[in-house]
Amino acid sequence: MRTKILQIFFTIFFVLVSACLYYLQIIKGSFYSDLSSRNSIRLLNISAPRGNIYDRYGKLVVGNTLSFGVFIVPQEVDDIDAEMENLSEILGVSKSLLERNYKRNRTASFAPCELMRGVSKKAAILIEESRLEMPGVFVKEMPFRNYYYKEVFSHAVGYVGEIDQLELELLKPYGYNIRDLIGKDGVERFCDRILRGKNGGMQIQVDNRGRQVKVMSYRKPTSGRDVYLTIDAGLQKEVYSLFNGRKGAAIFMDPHNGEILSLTSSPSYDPNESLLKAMRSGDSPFLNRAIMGVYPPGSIFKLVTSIAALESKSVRADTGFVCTGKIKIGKDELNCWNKDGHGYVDLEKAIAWSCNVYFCHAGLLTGADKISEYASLFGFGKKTGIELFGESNGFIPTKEWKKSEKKEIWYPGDTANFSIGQGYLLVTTLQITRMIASIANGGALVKPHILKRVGDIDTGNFKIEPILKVTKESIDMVRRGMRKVIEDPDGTGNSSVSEIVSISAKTGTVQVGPGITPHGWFVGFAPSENPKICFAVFLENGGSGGDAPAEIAKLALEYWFEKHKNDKKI
Amino acid sequence: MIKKYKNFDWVLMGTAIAIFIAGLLFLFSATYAKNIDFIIRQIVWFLTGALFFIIIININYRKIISLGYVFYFLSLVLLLLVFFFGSKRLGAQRWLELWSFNFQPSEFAKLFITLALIQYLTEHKINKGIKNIVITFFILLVPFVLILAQPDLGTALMLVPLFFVLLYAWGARLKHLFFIIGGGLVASPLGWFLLKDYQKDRLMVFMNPDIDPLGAGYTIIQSRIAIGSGGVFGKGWLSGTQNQLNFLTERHTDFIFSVAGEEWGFAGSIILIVLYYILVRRAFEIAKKTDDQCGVLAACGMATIIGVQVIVNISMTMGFMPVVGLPLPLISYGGSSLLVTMIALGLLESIAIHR
Repeated sequence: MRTKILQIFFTIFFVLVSACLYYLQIIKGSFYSDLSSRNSIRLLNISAPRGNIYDRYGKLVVGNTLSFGVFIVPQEVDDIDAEMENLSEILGVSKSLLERNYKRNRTASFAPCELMRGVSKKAAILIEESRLEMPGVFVKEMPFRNYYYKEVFSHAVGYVGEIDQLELELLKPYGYNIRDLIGKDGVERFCDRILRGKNGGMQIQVDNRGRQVKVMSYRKPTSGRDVYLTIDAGLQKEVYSLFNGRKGAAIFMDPHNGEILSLTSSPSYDPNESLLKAMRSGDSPFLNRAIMGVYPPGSIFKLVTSIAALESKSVRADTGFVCTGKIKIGKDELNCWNKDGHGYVDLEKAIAWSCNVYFCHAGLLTGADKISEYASLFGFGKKTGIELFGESNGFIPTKEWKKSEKKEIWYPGDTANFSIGQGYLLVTTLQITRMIASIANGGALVKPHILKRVGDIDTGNFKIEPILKVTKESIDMVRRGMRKVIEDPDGTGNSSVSEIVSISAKTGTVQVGPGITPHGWFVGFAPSENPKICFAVFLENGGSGGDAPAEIAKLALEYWFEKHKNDKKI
Repeated sequence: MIKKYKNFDWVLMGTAIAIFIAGLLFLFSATYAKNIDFIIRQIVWFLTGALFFIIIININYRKIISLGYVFYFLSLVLLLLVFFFGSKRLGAQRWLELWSFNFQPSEFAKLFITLALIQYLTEHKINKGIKNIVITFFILLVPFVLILAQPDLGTALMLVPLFFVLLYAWGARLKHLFFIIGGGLVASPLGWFLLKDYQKDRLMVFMNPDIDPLGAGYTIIQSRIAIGSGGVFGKGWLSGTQNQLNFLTERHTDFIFSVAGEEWGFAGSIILIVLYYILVRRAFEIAKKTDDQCGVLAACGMATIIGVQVIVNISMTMGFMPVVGLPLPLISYGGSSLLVTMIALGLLESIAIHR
């Protein structure tokens, strides 16, 4: 009897065990099956090599160089302290740095954790050789984005960085993943989808220590496509070095098709280095002064005023005004920069000498509405649409705007100020370059662009909008004046006479406040007949436009024409 | 000759061989990548065990039981030897090296102590009073402490159900038994202080494996995943990812059931459990057919040794019991355990033949 009870007792336990087994395998089977595959199957991302960026002549501007990264698999490590000590000796960095990286990058005990990147080949070999003494440590090849021209191209090509939360949310549907590199600025950002290619992937089976057992599936990465810029690397480098760290911007452009040959914003940053330092700098090196920075144009706007005046028949080429060094407008008095006065000036001389009095007269005759209209025709007040991010609109004041925003009426003094590019008017260097281009090419508004070829596709065929209202005569008038700026002994840009190439230009000097060095503009084109290149140079607090900015432009032009003197095409 | 074996329990032996062969398949799957020696040694142990089996079925079990005290003292000596000269593995001092064999005296002790208890209880079948129960308790206590000191919690705890089953089958009054159970429950919190840290860890981890997924809880979690992911029909022999990719630890010894569960699924595992059930049931059938008190006690004792190990082992690999380190009889790799199980089976057959 008792034996029977014992037997029943055991039977109950066997039934219980079977029930547990049923629960685990049948009821929770798919749950554990899922856990089991997560245990042993890992997805590895194989990053596609990013496309290169070349200049217009095929010179490599941005590419990938092979570099090495040191990784550690936490669960394979015996003595983390000793290994860190060892690694810090080989790599020549402090142990605390490695430990900091370890703490920051560690995700799971089986997942390789990055300790350092950009390791030299020599150190990489040394580490590989001593792998046995340092279990869990390994070296991996990592393509490293190399910006061969360092600071020179930064505002045109931008830089890459790890994708951030916001970008990830927006771009996830396009195949972007966490920890992807993504273009953060410039062409790197604009052409990111072209440059980045398509990441490959590998599904691998791993054992309990995270070691690869076999490859279950593999998808080859597709390299990114290359991008060719319109920029001439030689000119770009020359212009950047001429700035020598001074604050400002310069653009050199083909006036006929809008291809930008050089786009410089100074100071700049080196995308190869840590960007933190540059970000903390008070000089805002990340600000692209060529397309983001808005400034009053000053006297260079007189070119627009001239065209508006000529086209509206308010003045004629032989119309003259007498400059006594100042002009009275209502109750206000406006000074010419030359206190002694320029005497009798016609349009040509007015441009050459940059006579304020002449343009006040001309502007008052033309009227603010007409000047606004022509400013708008020349593309001011709106983005040019260049393939870069953060472009500013600039601003054209109008009578209506002043009335609705400032609650003030438009005074004749405002018109006078407007005529000479002072007051509320704000422009970008790029807009100025485009305006100059249309004078240089005889009246067509080009679309500035920086991409010459993307992958296999030529992007050079941009629509050119003609300025229908501007006659060739007006443009020629202005061009004669611009030529005199350089060639007239009293021209404001006379110091920039070049023996290599004839330059036509206009200077601008923008007063920014009492006691502060004014901003300087020097804009124009060369050669004076059949212009091949137009330019705008701006120096923040750079003094008179005829001095430092003119010198930068002149030296850059001489470099360019010297280099291309045998080139039939230009 | 034939007549002598007419009561031989073929079902018992057949079931045991079936379990062993299935076990070889699991063992092969668990170890072939590393070393084929495990299989060979296991077969050698089985053949050795078979030799003992044949010898024992030809001896009247009463004779063996009457040597219970001798075995008892032998096991005390061995346990003391382990205590002083034993080799340490996995933090426990359980093994004795003898002629280049490592054997585990605590495995033998659980059998020998059972024999001694049976001998004592058989000799005192008239007086079923408290005095004999107390003496039985002390017979058990000495080796219990020695085994616990190794530490081998699993084997030590094995002695507890043995104690109750034997007393119950012997005919002890239920009043007394419940009194002991009550006393044990009251005293059990004291036991906590006697446990080693790793044993406390294991108990804590049993309550909640997630507190230490890469340490003490790792084995349980991975074993559960292995068994659970086996599903209905399993991943197939030699194809269990948990097993083949080394996520399972101790999978050729205490955790071999997780290999079975993963690769053979519910279908295979339930057959295995049914086979074990048949084995235990046959043992009790032998006890039922035996009139002799000594035979009843011995059969119940052997049934308990095998049955408790099966139940505890499978439950612990599934994570329904704390990890105490008991092998799965006839399947877990290890000579001592296999030999002891074979001897127990031999004794059962001897009872069937000689009753």
